Amino acid sequence: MQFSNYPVIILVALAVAMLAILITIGTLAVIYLHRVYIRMRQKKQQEAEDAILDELNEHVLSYDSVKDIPEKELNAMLRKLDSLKNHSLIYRNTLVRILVGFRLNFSGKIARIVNATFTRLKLREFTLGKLKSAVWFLRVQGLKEVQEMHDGHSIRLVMALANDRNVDVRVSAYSALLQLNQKNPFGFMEQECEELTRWHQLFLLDAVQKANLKVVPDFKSYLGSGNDSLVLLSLKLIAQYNQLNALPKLMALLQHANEAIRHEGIGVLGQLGDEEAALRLIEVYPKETRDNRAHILTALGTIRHPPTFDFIVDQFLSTDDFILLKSAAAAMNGFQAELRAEKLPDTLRLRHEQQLVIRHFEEPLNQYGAA
Amino acid sequence: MERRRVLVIEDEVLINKFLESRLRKEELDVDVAYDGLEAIDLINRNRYDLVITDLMLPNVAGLELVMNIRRSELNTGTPVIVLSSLSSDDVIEDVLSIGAQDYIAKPFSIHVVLAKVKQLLSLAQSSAA
Repeated sequence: MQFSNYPVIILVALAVAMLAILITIGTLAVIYLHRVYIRMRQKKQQEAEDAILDELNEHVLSYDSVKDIPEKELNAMLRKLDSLKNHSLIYRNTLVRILVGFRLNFSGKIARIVNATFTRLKLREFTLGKLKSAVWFLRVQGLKEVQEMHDGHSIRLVMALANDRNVDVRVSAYSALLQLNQKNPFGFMEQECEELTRWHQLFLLDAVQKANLKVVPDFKSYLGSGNDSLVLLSLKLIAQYNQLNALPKLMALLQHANEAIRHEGIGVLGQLGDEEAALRLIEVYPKETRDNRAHILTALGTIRHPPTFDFIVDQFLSTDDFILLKSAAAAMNGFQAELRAEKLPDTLRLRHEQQLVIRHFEEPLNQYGAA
Repeated sequence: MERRRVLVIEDEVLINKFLESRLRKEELDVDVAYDGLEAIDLINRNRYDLVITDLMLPNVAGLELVMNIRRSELNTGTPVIVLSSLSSDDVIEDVLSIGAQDYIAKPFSIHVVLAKVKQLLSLAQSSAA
C-alpha cells in the first residue's frame, strides 16, 4: 500500500489518529502501573503495620514500665523491632507513625514506654533528620512527630524552624512550640509578619486547644498587631477562652478598617458581650456592610438584651434583603416568647415571605444554632 | 465461670488492636468493629456484657450508636464506655444523657480503662445476681 498516493489531509489525519492511539495506550499503561504500584505499597504498609502492631501489643506494651521488662527479653524485643525498622523505609515510617499514634492516644505508663521505645530504636534521630531536610513537607512531618512525641529536648531545632522561609513550616513550628515551649508558647504572635491564611489560624487554634497550657495570656494585647491575620487569630482565642476583660478593646475594634476583623469582632461580641456591647453594635449597624449587618443581628440575638429587641423587629419589618430578614428572624427567635408575642405585629399583617421565615425558625429542628 | 463478652468499636486500627489485646489478657472475649454499621450488626446479633466505643466513627456516629444500643433487643441494658478526643462539657453531657455509663477522654491511660471495665462488669454482675 502506497501512503504517498493519498492526499496530504488524509496522511495528516492518519498521523494524528496514530498519535492519539499511542497517547491513549501510554496513558492507560501509566495509570495501570501507578495503580499496581499503589496497591503493592499499600500491601507492604499493611504487612508492616500488622507485624509492628503484633510485636508492640504482644510484647512491648503488655508491660507497665520499661523497668518491668526482663533485660534479656527487652534486648530481644528491641532487636526484633530494630530489624523491622531496618527492613525498608516503609517499615521505618510505619513504625514511627504507629509509635506517634500511640503517644497521641495514650497517656500514663504506656506513653512512657512508647517514648522509651522511640528513643532506644533511634527513631528520634530519624525524626530530627527530617527537621533538617531540604524538602519542606518533610520538615513539617518532622515537626508534627516532635510535637506529638512531646520531645522537649528538640526545642532548639524547632525554634530555628520558627524562622523558616516557608510559611507552612513556620506555622507547624509555632504549633510544636505551643506544646513544647511552656515559657513562651505565644512568642510567634510578636514575630510573624506574613498574613496567615484562615487554615493556618484554625490549625494554630486547634494546637492551642490541645496544648494543655498552664497559663493563657491576655489575648487582647495582640489586638493592636499590625498583622491582621494575627488579630483574627487573637479574636478566635479571646472567644475560645471567654476573656471578658477584652470587651472594651473589642468594641473599639468595630472601627477597624478591615471588614474581616470587624466581622470576627462582631461574632466575639455576640458571644461574650453585655448590654453595652449590644448598644454599641446597634450604633455601628448603619455604617456596616450587608454581611456585617446580618452578623450584628445574629450577635444581638445571642446577647438577648431586651431593649435591643425593638431594633431587631424594625430591621425585620423594613428590610427587603433576604439575608438580613433571615438573620433578624433568627435573632428574634433567641428572645423570650412573651416578648416576641408582645412586640411582634400580628403575623397576619406580615408579608408572606416574613411569615415563612418566622415559621422556619419556630420549627424545633431549625432552632439549634439559629441565634 | 462464664467468660464476659466485650465489644470494642474504634476506627483507629492501633487503638482497636491494642484494646483487643489488653482486654483478652484480662480473660475477656473480645469482638471488634471498625465502623458504626459493623457495630450495629454485631449488637443486633450478639449479647455483650460491655461496649467500649469511640464517638467519631465512619458511617454511624457514636452518639447514634449508643442510642442504637439502648434500643436494641439484646443489649438494651449493656453498659457503655465512650472513648473520645472530644472532651468539651457539652459532648460529655450528651454522651451521659443518652445512656452511656462512662466517658474517657483521649489521650487515655489503659489502666484507667481496665479499671472502669472491671468496675462496670462487676456492677452488672452484682445487679444481675
